[in-house]
Parts: sequence; C-alpha cells; structure tokens
Amino acid sequence: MKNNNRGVTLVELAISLTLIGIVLAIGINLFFFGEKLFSSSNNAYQLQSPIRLTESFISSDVRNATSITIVTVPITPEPGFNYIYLKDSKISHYSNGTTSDKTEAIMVDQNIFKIKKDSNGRNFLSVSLKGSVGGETYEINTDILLNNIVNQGEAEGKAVKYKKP
Amino acid sequence: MRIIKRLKGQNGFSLMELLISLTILSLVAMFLLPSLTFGYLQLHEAGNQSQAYASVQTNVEQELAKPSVPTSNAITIQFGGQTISVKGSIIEKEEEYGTRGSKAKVKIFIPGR
Repeated sequence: MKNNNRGVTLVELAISLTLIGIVLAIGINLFFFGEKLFSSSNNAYQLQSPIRLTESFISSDVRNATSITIVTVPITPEPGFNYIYLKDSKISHYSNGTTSDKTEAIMVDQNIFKIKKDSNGRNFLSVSLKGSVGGETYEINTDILLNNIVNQGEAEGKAVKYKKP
Repeated sequence: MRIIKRLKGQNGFSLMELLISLTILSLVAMFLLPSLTFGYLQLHEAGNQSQAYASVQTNVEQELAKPSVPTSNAITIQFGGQTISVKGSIIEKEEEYGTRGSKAKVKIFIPGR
C-alpha cells in the first residue's frame, strides 16, 4: 500500500506553500485594512456627530439673544445669564444653575467665538469648532446673525455669556 | 483502504488550475473591497456636507443682515381656491462639496425685500 503512494516533491510543496502564503498575506492584509477602516470611521463619527449637534445648538440658542458678551474661562455664573464655553477640551452649556457637556473631551483648545460687526452695524457670532480624535480632525465654521444685537464691538474668546428673551 | 484507492485515481490540481482559481479569488476580493471603504467614504461625504451647509448658513445670515429695501417682487401661493400674494424675494445660496460635485443648497424667502 505504501509503495503505491508517491507523495509530493519538494518543488510541489514549495509552490503550494508559496501559494498558501500569498493567499494568507492577502487575507490578513484585508482583515487589518477593514479593522483600521472601522477604527477611522468610528473616530470620524465620534468627532462629526457632537460637533454638528453643538453647532446647531449654538445657532438656535444664541440667535435671538438680547445681550451677548465674550467672557473668560472659567466662567463666573451670574443669575439670568446663559453661558457656552470651551474648558478642558469640552464644550459645556450653563443655564439656570445646571451645566451640561455638549461634547466629550475632543475639542481643540482655541478661541471658538468671535463677535463680528458688518458695515451696517449688524453683529454676528462667528463660531469655529475644531475637534480631534485619534488622528482624525474635523472643523465647522459658521456665522450666526444676532437678531437683537447691533453696533457691539468686535471681540473673541472661548466663552459667551448671553441672555435669552 | 477504499479512500486510498479512490485517491490513487485522482491527479489533484495542476499549477494552472490553482493560478486560475487564485486569480478569480483576487478578482472577487477586488470587487468586495469598495464595499469595505464605502461606509468610510460616505461618512466623510456627510462631514463635508455639514461643513458646506455651515458655510452656506454664513452666506444666508449675511443676506438676512442686509438692510431692507422695499420691493415690488411678489410670490404667489395657491391655497385651496385662494391665491395669496406676498411681497418679498427668494434667495438661493449653494456651495459645492466632496469629490462628486454634490451641492449644499439653501433657499429662503425674505418678506418685504
């Protein structure tokens, strides 16, 4: 029975091993590529989602403010005023004695607010939100027309103090 | 015994057959690859879209801040049997984003201007 089996030659074995090696190399590469892609996508989502929501929140909350000023961080809350500020890489909102974080600690430390004035004296709040997670960065910039504020001087900083109607 | 007998009559795959099957396998992998990257690309496209909308919002806000000038422009709305005419104008702002030439478009009606 043993005499009828010729087995495989060294060349055949080498070729088959090479082929298995190639297939495995492609497979492993694909696996790690997929894993890296998932990780990048996850980071991108964790960045984009809170930044978008925060931008939307700031737009709607500040637009009709009856008074607005740029203040320094840490804030000193005063009754009747709302605050949005960047501290410890987080954007937080203070209102009626309660503070809520709008983002995790993903924000880049920079001046996120700027009060601007156009040639007609209309004021805008310029918002610049930039975040970074695991090598991914994302930035949203927009200007919000302050409906109830006119002729206020330009200023920039990390926190705004405002009063809602 | 029977299995060995059966194996004896078979020649296995030739190198050519193996190469062809590997080529087919890599072709399938090549076509499957875009499905892996699709989610990531879509996410980035969505991110670009948000940036474009934020930029369009800036343009719209600047338009809204312009002083009001009386206009004779009017838009008419058919509401049931009635026709409502409102003085004002429609402003459209848009910005291109991404690699596929998509546009973030915002259309607003400014009454009395």
